Formats: sequence, C-alpha cells, structure tokens
Amino acid sequence: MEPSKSTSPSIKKTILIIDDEEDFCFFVKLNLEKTGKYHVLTAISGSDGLKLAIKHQPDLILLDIIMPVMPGTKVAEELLNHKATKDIPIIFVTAIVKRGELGPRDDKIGGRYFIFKPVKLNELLVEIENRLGS
Amino acid sequence: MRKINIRKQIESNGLILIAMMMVVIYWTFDTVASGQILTRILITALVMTYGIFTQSLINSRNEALAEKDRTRQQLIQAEKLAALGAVAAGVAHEVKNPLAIIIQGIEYLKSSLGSDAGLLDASSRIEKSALRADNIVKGLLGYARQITLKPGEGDIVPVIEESLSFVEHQLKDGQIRVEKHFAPDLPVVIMDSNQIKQVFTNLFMNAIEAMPEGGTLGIRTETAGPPEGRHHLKIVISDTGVGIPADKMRNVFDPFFTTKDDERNTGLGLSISKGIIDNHQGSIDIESAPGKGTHVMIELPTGGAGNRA
Repeated sequence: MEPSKSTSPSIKKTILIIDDEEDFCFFVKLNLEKTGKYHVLTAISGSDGLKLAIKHQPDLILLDIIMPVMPGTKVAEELLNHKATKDIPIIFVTAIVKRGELGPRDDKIGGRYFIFKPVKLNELLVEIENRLGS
Repeated sequence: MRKINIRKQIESNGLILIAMMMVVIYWTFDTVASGQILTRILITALVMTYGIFTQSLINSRNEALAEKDRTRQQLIQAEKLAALGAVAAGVAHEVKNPLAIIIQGIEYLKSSLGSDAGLLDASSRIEKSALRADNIVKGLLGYARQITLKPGEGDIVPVIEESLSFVEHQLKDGQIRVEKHFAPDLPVVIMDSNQIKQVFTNLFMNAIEAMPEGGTLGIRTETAGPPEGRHHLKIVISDTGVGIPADKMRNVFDPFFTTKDDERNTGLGLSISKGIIDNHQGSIDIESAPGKGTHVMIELPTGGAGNRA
C-alpha cells in the first residue's frame, strides 16, 4: 500500500501502522483519521515500515508481530537501535495471543504494550491515547 | 437373552476344552481296554494341569498385550491432541486477522451511516457475529493450550452455583431436578475460576442433553487424598440419563467426538474440559453405562494447608 503522507495540521499526531494485512491497515487508517486527531501512515512490510518510521518519525507505531520476511519483533529491534526512532512508542498488534495470556499487568508483555486482534475501535483509541498521553 | 460369544469362549478357554476332549477320547478308548483306574486318574490329572497351566500363561500374555494396547492408545491420544493443538493455534491466528478487518470495517461503516436505524442495526448484527466468531476462536486457542492459567485460591461451591445459574433455563425446560451434596468445611481449591466454570457448564449441558425425558442432576463434593500427600477436592457430577455405550467410552475425550446428533455440537466440550483440568494438575474421569446414567469425577488440588481459609 502506498504510504499516505501528512498534508496538514501539526496538532494532529502521526501514527504509523505496520501490518501485512493490507485491509486491516486500510480500515484502521480510515477509522483513526475520521476522529480528526490523527493522520496515519501505513506499510505492509517490516522493511517499508522501518523506512517510513525513520523518514517521518511518527508519534506512535502500531506494529504487527507475525509478518513475512521481517517480523514485528525484528522491526522493533531495528527501531530501538536507530537514533531517529528509538524513542517512538510502539504498540504491538497481534492475533497470536489474547488478553488472558498476559501477566498481572494486562497490557504489557516484557515491558511492551499489546493490543489484540480483533480490536474494537474504542479500545484501540483508548490504547493509543494512553500511549500518546493525549 | 444374553448371547454367548462362542469365539470368545474358545479364545479364553480353548486349551482347557481341548484337554477335556483328549480326556474324553482317552476314557473312551481306555474303557474298551482293560480298566486301570489309578493310571486313568493320573493321566487325567496331568492333562488337566497341563491345560490349565498353559491357558493361564496365555491369559497373562493377552492381558499384557491389552495393557500395551491401552498405553499405545493413550500415546496416540496425546499425539492427536498435540497435533490438533498446533492446528488450532494456526487456524486461530488465520481467522483472527480477517475478523479484525471485519470489525474495523464495520466500525467505519457504522460511523459513516448517519442515523439510518435499519443500516445501523444491520451493522451491529454483523459486528456481533464477528465477535461471536472471535469467541469460538478463543475457545480453539484455549484448546491449543496457549492460555496461561490465572490460578487463585477459591471456594468451589460458588463456582458450581454460578455455573448452574448459566443452565438454569435448560434445567427448568428439561424438567431436571438438581440434587446437591456439598460436604461441610470444604478446603479452598487452586483454580482459575473462569475456566473451571467453563468445565462445569460443559458438563451440566452434557448431563441435561443426556436426559431428554427429565431426570436428576447430582453434584457431590468431598475431599480426597492421603493425610500426608497433596489433598484434592473431588467433585462428582452425575445424571440419570441415557449413558454412553461401552464402545464410545474410549473416545469421549477425543476432540470433535460426539455422541449427539445435534449438528450444532462441536464435540469439543469434553476435550476442552479435560485440557483445562489437566492444566490445573487435576484429573477427570467418566463412568457410564447405557440406561444407567453417567458419573463424571473431577479432582482438583486444594490450596493452603488443605483447610478452608
């Protein structure tokens, strides 16, 4: 999918979605942009996502874990190792675990934040706002 | 009238029969010849001893073979479960992705539909179905044993009562009486109460479906285990229903195995229940006979010193 680029207001936060499910990116982008608070970049591969992250330095990254070629865990490692992206908060988006599998703190695994597919829009917005502190 | 299985009789007593026939033949010939009673008795005793001794050896060997077969069946069962677990986890992942797209898509449509009540209602129905499919997938994931238990110490009785309340309607409709015998001062149990509720609800539904003409659902609790060993709480759930034929008993915990005709039945209830109980370091066993009902025995480890907190 062609990454869409910010065209306006600086008050809008930029969110980058990296997920090999193109239609998931499509609808999440529509839903988030409809709130008027975010503008959204999307990438359907880890390597494209990495390039976009370095180029645009989004405020938050939604990162799928299971992806061909470069899985989300590898992308996260690269992001942490790059000085331009190391401080960008990441929320892993996954279909391989569910909430019940997490430990005492329900939204973190190994210090990372997770949301679980399928996620409802209001839950997604709460998570994003919590991470952005908005 | 009970039919005698001649083949089985010959298999288990064949050598004794042969020995007896030899004796009869010997006696017949010997009677024609001169009668030596002591020789006859001695030979008869020798032949009989030989037959009985050999037959007992054969019977022991058959028992050993049967035991080996049981062990092999258990191994096959474990392999099947492991394979199915892997498949279930894979399927769950593949299904969750399109579900995520459907749910996000519906959310977008809902927010774009304005105030058309009919379309909003239609969207909500689609969303509800997608969430229902997600619940089924969660069940499969649970089956794949990827779930982590959230065990705590708790009383079993409220868990049983709450599970009963889930099937209250079915109990009433099915004219089923509930008999509860909860032992006093039951110890607390180490369990993930939500999962144990799932087990009880499954078992209660099975019991209800086994009693289409009505009957009695019995729930009994007792403590078990040696004074020095790890204590267990035993819960016995019984029904007065149709029972399970002997040839089906071996498969009751198999995934996708069902004795019910209802096509909505997935045949996963008992195998998921077994998975949950195994995860709790407990045990689940079934006794049943056609026309005599079914008893399901569950044991769960108790917490603390084995006494009520």
